[in-house]
Amino acid sequence: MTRSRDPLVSLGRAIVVLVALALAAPLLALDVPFYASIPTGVATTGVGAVPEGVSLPWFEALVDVRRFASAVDRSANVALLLSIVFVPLLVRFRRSPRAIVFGACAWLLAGVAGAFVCECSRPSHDWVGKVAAARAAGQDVRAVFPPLAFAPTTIDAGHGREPPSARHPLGTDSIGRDVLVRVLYGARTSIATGLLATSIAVVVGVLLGAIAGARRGLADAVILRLIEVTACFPGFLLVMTWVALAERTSLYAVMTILGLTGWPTIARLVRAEFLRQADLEYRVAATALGAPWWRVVVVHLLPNACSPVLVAAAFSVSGAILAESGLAFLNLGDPTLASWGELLRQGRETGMLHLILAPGFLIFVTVTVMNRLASVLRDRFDPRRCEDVR
Amino acid sequence: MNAALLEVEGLTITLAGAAGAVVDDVSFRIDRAETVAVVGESGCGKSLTALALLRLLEPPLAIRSGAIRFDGIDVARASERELQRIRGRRIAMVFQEPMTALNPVLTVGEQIVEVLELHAGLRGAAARARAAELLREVEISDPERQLDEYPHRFSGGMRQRVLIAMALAGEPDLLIADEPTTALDVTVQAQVLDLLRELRRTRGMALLLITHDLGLVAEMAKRVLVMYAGRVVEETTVLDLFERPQHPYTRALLAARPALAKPGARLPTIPGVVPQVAHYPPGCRFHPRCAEAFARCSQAVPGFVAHGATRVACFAREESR
Amino acid sequence: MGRYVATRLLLALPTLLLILGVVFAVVHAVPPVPSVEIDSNVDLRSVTRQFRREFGLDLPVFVNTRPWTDVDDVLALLDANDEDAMLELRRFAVVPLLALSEPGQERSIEAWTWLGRCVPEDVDPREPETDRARKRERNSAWAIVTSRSAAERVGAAREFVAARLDHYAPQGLDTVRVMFGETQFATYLGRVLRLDFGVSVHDRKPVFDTLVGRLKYSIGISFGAILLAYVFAIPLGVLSALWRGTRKDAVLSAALFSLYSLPSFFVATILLRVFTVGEPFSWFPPGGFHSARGFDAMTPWERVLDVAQHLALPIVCLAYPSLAYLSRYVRSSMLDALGSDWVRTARAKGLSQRAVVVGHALRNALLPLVTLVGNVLPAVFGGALVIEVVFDIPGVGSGLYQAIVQRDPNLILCGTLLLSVLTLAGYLVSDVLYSFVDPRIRFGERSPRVGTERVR
Ligand SMILES: Nc1ncnc2c1ncn2[C@@H]1O[C@H](COP(=O)(O)OP(=O)(O)OP(=O)(O)O)[C@@H](O)[C@H]1O
Ligand SMILES: [Mg+2]
Repeated sequence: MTRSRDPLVSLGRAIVVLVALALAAPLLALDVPFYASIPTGVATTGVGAVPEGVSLPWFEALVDVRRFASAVDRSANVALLLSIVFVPLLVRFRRSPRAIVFGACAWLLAGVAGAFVCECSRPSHDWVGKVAAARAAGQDVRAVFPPLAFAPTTIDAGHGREPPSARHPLGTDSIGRDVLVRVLYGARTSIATGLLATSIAVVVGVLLGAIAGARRGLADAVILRLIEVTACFPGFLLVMTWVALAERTSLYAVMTILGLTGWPTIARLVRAEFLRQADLEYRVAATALGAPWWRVVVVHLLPNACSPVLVAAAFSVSGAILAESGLAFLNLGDPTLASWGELLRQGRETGMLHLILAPGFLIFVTVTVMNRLASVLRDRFDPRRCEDVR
Repeated sequence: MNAALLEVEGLTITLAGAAGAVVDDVSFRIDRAETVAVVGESGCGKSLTALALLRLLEPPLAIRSGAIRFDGIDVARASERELQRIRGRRIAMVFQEPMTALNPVLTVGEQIVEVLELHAGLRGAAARARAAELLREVEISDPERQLDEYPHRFSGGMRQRVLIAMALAGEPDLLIADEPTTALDVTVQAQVLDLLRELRRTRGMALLLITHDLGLVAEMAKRVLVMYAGRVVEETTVLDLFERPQHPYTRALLAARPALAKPGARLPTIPGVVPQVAHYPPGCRFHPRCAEAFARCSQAVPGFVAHGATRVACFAREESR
Repeated sequence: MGRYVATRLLLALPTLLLILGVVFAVVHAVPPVPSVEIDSNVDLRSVTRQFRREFGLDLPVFVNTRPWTDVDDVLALLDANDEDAMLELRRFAVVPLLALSEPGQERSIEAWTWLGRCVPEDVDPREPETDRARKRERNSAWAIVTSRSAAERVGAAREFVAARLDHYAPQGLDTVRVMFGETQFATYLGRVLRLDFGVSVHDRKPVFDTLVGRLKYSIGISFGAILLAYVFAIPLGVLSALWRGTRKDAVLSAALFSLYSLPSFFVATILLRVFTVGEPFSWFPPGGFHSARGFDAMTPWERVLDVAQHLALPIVCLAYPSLAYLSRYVRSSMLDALGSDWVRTARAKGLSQRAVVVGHALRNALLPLVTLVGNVLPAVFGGALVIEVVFDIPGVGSGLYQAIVQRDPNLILCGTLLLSVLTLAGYLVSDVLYSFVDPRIRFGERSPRVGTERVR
């Protein structure tokens, strides 16, 4: 591979690889075959019986609420299916940043919407066990499993706390779940937290910052106070408290609180940018032509505030990822989701290096990539306009 | 003929990444107690030339070639050690931007005393007294108190005078003054100029005066260098400059003086603008704006020809000889 | 200056109030429950009632709408037979219950019984003794009333209540007072203003004392970390600025950048694994502030060594993110300084490279660094939470973590308040210091703030 001179290109590649791994997790690891042809017999009876005949159980499993309890997982699964449509589209329009951004957003939204529209609940089939048993009984069973035939929740009985082996390339955790599988699915948790928390922060921040910068006066004063107050908020503590007190820990609460405490930086940047642009001629001209203030904001001011917001957003993603894994590390994570921080916690408790290094390294890489992206972007844009973010 | 105090030969300054030289093949000399003025439009490389004399250029700017001989020392090749002995003590400089040239977190007194300790061997109260005296000489009122003030309390003109006082503190043999009086009002300007003349008379201090103010040139200088786009186009005496300007650029510069314009008439201007470093034209760099230009002007760089005490780099003057 | 600080302090009050309000809402979104051993044969119901009363949880959290309780509400409670809810209505159940007790009403007997229970419940064990005495008196009057015939006793009760109507059915401004005053939040604020932060629901000890007792450990590691960060950050930052553009600078910058992105709980876990459990090294103890056994028998010198050995790893973990952040800051402000006009002036004076760097550039670059203490301090204190938990140090952070896990509202609130006050104080100190070190800044103008969110 040739090394590109532009750091943005290699950073972009790193991000694409991370996202691809997160999306493709079920493609690489799931205990359900893509294709199965089961004759009547051993496999179709007893606990965990599988349906007989030819079927494509993998596709159904992707939206099965029993297999994927969390909507985060199901959305990612649907997005994975939709990649057949979106990846060629994105590749086709890769030259236009705007198309990429819109395409990625559409992909994301389609995934989330799809997960809510088509969900199903199937009885739990024990594909791996039944297929093995049927094969042992000499039946003509055909089933194509993903390379790792484990779900993130599969407990491989009798294989707990194992160091890396051929069966489990990164070993197993303290109750016998495959670490590599959980690391793959953990990427989804991290990326989802980063994305959602940042989206909330960006929406709130841009909105309030724009109002403050465009309207001035009382609105500005009030929002400025709000910014100062929120900036002093002990966000992580609040998340911890919420998560610990809630009946059932939910990742959405974490994302929401992180987003709602993370917007002040963005609001400050947008406001500063608006004030900076206040006297520029085109704005005066647009106002003089009778454009309403919100139109001036949307058409003239917001596009200019994009670059500092992008920098702050990149930092915010890495901050949210750190917060999520920190919470899981403190045993305050969402138990229905695989998480890097949660693996690391087990590593701390058991002292097993494979449980420490694999998730820790991934957190480090993801956070570094996002921080690096932010600082490269900041250097690329006028640095003075991003002063507030580091 | 005795040895010159400063002799510059073929000084060429380049900007990393740009093709042409920013300052190209500049040569001149300054004798003891002599005042030489450098004039030229904004951006023609006057300040860079001055900085080069003290080896203060920093990347991306660098001296590519040329010799700078000061009192027998080869400044262009001097070690950092030797340079430290020259800077401030032998050659001092008054910088062009008074607003940023003073350290904001040190008091004015501390910054002047620093020079006195380094070059005049004064310490403590003596240094302080001398610093106050210097401030008084540049017409700053209540100097004792002002010594303890920070630069941000000073106006632009006051800062410029502090810079002058600081430069004079080391009692240099050569003072490079980069537009030293732009921020001063007329009376203070007159007093500062008196001070400089006085120093020239008593201590034999030479002065390299960079300015846009032709009136100032007439008042102070004996010889004048006219620069255009990084090159010296004419070197002449003050008298000849006003009486017999040779180079078309010099003539245009003189014609554009506001003092000459009739009341109510439009000021004559030189058509066009000084090109940026990256866009210096080939041949004589003035030819795109020159009324007298002909084919050769865009093909070759004119060499100097002498007209009495004047040296001029122009093909048109070569012909007329 | 005094005026400026006073303004800032005044502005901090609403900020703290808002923070307290939000955290209060979160903490009380799910009411805390008493910790009872599962198989112990206590009456969970009465224990809970006792517990709620003791910690004032029987009041509404933010807004008290009980003065508007009407007959229908009470009837609904009667139907549901919700004893706890009825008792928690306290005196506001009296007027509707009285109306229901009128002879001829469908459920008058039931209502009368409830009335008899609700009024004595009105005695609040937390109120001063004189109030209690007064209420006892009232209750005995009530007891006499109960001994007569139905019509008589209801009539007497009606008179009794009518004589004290402002108490049982507040009107006008009193309603507002009850609405916002008789709430958990108002009660809590009132106590906080008297610097009474309440007691823990677990050990019944004052939470403030608990936290202050833990503060010394937190301050120990935090200040150690800040010191360490500064001691290493300055030379590293200056060197990489002086080496600008060389390979050395590139390597150093990349290393510092990675350090900055390295999550400290990961580093802490690795250090613990590698250096404490003897695989491969056993250089440091695995946690705690000092040795659990034999510490008292040590000489002072041995004690210092012992504590230092215990704190080395946590301090390193806490220091390195700030170190990375500070040295990047030093580098860029040093570069700014070195490229400035006044450094050129200093060179032109004939100062040596050293004098220029140390006397002019470094001085300017480092002065704002002093003010960053205000930014680093809250970050370090926040980061200390995870580190204290991992290294088992009995500081404020681990105390707060325990409080959160055990749902101890007073402890959580007090801890949050402590951290917020520290954060605000950090900002204030940073701004004041800034105006001291930079002669250009005058009070009242905001200093250029370098955001804080990102130091971890
Ligand atoms: N650090 C630098 N990087 C790039 N270009 C530079 C730099 N410093 C100076 N220049 C360029 O060199 C040219 C000469 O600059 P110089 O400061 O010597 O002009 P000047 O004659 O002093 O003008 P003025 O009368 O406005 O002071 C200008 O075109 C300027 O753009
Ligand atoms: Mg200049």
